[in-house]
Amino acid sequence: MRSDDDLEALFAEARRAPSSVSPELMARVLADAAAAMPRPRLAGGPAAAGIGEPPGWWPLLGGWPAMAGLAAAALAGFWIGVAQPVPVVLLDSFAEAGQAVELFGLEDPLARWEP
Amino acid sequence: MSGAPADQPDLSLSGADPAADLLALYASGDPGAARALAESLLPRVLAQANRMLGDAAEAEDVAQEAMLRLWRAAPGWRREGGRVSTWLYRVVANLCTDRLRRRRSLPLDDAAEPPDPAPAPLSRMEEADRLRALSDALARLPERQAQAVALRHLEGLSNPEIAEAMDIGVEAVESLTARGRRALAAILGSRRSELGYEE
Repeated sequence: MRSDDDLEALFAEARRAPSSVSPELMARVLADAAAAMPRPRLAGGPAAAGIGEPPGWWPLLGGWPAMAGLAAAALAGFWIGVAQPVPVVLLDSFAEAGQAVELFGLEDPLARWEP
Repeated sequence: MSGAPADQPDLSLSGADPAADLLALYASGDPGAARALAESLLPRVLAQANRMLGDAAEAEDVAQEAMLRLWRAAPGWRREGGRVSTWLYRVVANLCTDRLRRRRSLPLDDAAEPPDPAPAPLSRMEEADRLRALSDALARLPERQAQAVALRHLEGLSNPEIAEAMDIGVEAVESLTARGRRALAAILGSRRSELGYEE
């Protein structure tokens, strides 16, 4: 099994192979670490968010559920603002039961997503 | 039985992982933790890459890339996923087999020569050639075999440790190392005189 003995000798030689970290390599690795490091939180003031973390005042506003409602209200306000108003229909035309009057040319912003 | 190199970390299953503690500090914005981690982990990472690649320049590239992946993994690091050292064994092994795979597609004349400003004694030159021949032979193995053989015979990991690093069963490790070792012996056996082994 000489080839097996020789292979074992080669493995042993590889295990003994010297390697040392050069100052240049260490500097590159630390530069990468600095570039990739999440931003630290600031003590005593508004918290600077780390990667994936919301700021400290986030829970005070109600978090994501509140933000969803705020976003919906903002979107509705936007559409109302850009929609072209139509003349207000006189009250007489309300005589027919069940008649629906469209006061604003609102386009359903979610219509395109309806199945 | 292969002996472990002196730079081997303690892989005992004590549950404590100081590297994970440092990684959490780094993720919270502590620059001192980065230096402590680099000083602790980089030598071992570089040594593993050097043993598997037999090329100092390539080993440095792999080591830097492995540490970069660690920095990026820090914010989402989960201790229950295993130790930092085990994760690094896997990352370095994968990066090395990526490099070895690229070697297979290079014509022999285009293989990069390692820079050597000082003339090396004949014994050192032969050793470098042998280590390069070992990594070239590893490059010819299926990647999982090459990784298992390297982790077993170059890094001195036990079969359970290799199983954890490669995320496979212990039986699979035994099969991979046995087949890989036989294949290496066959590949290198034809080059014995060239490698300096007497007939």
